[in-house]
Amino acid sequence: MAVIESVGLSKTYGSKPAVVNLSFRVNPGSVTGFLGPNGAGKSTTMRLMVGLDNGSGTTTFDGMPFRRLTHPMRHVGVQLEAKPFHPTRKARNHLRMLAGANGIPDSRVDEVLGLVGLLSEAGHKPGKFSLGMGQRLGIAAALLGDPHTLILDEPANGLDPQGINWLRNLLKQLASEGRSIFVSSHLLSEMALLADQLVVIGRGQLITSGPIRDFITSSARTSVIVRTPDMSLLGPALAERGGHAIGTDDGSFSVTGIGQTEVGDVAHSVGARIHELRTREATLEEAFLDATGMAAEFVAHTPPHDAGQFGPPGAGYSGQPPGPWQPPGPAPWQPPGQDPYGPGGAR
Amino acid sequence: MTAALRYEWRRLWSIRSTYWLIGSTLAFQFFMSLIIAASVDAGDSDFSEGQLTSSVVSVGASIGSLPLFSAYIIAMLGVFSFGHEYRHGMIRATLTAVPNRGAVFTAKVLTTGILAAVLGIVCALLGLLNATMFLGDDADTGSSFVWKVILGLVVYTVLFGLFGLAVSEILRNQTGALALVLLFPSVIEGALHLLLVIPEGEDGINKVAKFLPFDAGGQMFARPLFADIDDIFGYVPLEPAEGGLVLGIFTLVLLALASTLFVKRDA
Repeated sequence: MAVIESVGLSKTYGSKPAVVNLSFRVNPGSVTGFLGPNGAGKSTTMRLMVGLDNGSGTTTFDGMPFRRLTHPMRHVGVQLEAKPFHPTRKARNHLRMLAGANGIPDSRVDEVLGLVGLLSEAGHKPGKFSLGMGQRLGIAAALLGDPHTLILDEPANGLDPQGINWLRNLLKQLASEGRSIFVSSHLLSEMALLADQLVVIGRGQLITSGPIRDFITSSARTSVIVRTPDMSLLGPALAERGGHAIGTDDGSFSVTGIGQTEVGDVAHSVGARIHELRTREATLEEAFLDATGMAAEFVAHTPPHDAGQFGPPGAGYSGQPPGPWQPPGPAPWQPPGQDPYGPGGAR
Repeated sequence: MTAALRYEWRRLWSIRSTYWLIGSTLAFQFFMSLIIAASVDAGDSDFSEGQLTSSVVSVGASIGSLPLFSAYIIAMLGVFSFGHEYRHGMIRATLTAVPNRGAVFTAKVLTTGILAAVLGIVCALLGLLNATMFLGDDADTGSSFVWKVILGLVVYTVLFGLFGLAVSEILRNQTGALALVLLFPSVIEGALHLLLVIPEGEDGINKVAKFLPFDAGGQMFARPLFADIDDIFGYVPLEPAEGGLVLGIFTLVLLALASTLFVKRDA
C-alpha cells in the first residue's frame, strides 16, 4: 500500500527552471524527509505531486495520479501552506467543508480536532490562531480522511518544542502503521530524529535519496579521530590506503576515507603509538551542508579569516576543507599542496 | 461533480459575507420598494399601471432613473466565490479536496447562478408585495408587462453575478475584481456610452454603443417613460431579447476565458 512514485518532475517559471527531471520514491512504513536549501524547489515539487502546479512528469499514489483519485483526502493527506483557511470560517466548519467533499462523516471532524489538540478551538475563527495553531489545523485537515499517505510542507514551522515533539511522535506512529509520510523541513536536527529516509535536492535536482544513515555515514565529515605522537609514521601509511588526515585544533587528527578498524591496523603495522581512536559521525546538518553547499540557490559569502578552521597553520596535514559531498565510496586522499582553495581559505 | 457541489455549498454557508450580502440585498429591496410604493400616487401619474409596478419592483431601475442596486450586491457574491479562494490561499485547500478543476468551476457557476436567480425572484416578490399593499388594484400584478420586466430583472441579475465570478477568476485579486465589477456597468460603460454617442451624432460609431454589454442587458427590464435623450443623437437601444443575448454572450465569453485560465494556471 501507499507507494509514492514521482518520475521526471519538471517545472519552469518563465525561463528559470524550478524543478528539473526529479524522480524519487517514497515507501510505506517510513518517514521520508525532503531536504533542500531555500529555493531548491521543495514546495514546487510538492505542488507538482498533487497537481496544483502544471508541469511535466508524473506522480502516482499506488499507481494513481492525485487528480484521478475520487475522494483524494481519503488516500493522500496534504498540508502545503501554513494557513490554508479562510480567517473567519470557524475551524470546525472548515473541516466539515473538506469532509463533505470527500465522503468523510462529520463525526470525524471533532475526532481529528481532538487528535491535534484543537477541540477547544473548534468553534473559533482561525484568523486569530497563532502560527502553531494554524499548523495544527492544517495537520488536522491532512489527517481528516485517515489517509495512507501524508505530504507535509514544513509542518513543524511555528510549533513550540512540545508541539514538535508531539508531531514527531505522531508521524512516527503513523509511519509504523504502514503509511507513507513525505515531509519537508529545514530543521535538520528535527529531521535527524524523525526521518528514516531522505530525498535531498538542490537547484531543483536530485542530489541523493536513500536511508538517512547512509547519507550521514557517507559524508566526508564522518571521520576517525586519532591522537598519536607518531603522525609522521602514520600519515603516509594512511594515505597509501586512501585515508586523508587533517590536524584539528586540539592536536588530534581527523581521518576520512577509511574506517576506525583499518586505522588501528595501519597504526599497528607501522608501529605508531595511538593515544585515542574513535569514530566521529557527521551530523545531518554537516552532511546536508556538504551535499548542498554547491547547490544552494542563494549563497551567502563569508569573508575569509586567517586562523585555519581546519587546524593550526603549518600542521602537517591541515588545510583541506571537505569538498562537496560525493556519492558513497571512499573519498580519495589528496596530498597537501593540491588544495585549490588554499589553507583555511573561503570557498 | 457532487463532491464539488457539496464543497461549494458548505463553503458558501460557512462564511459571514454570504449572510450579510443576502440580508442587505433583501433589506434594501424591501425598504426601497416600500418607500417608492408609498410615495407615488397612482391616480396622478403619467405612468401606465405596468410601468408604475415595474418601477416599484426594480426600485427605479426599469424607468431608467437608477441602476439595479440589488444586482450589484448579488454580483459581489459572484466575486467572492473565487475572490476568497485567492485572497486567503484557500484555492490550494480546495483543489486538494476536489482536484477536478472543471467540476470546481462548474459547481461555482451553478451555485452562484442559482443563488442569484433565487434572490432575484425573492426581490421581485418583495417588490410586488409592496406594490400590492400601496397601489392596490392599480398594481396590475397580473399583466404580462410586469412579468416580462421581472423575467428581465432576474436574468440580468444572474448574468451580473456570473460576470463577477468570471472577473474574479481572471484577475485572481478580490479587491481589483470588486472594483471592476461594480464600476464596469455603471461608470466605465457610462463613460464609454457618452464618448460613443454624443460626439458622433446620428451616424457612425453610436451604433456600437447599444452593444455595450450592460447597456444592452439593461434593456431586458428597461421601460422608460419618455424617449431617452439619446434618441436625439440617433441612439436606438436593442430590443429586450436582443439585449439579453448580447449580455449573455459577453458573460459566456468571459466564463469560457475564466474556466480555461482556471484549468491551465498554477493554483
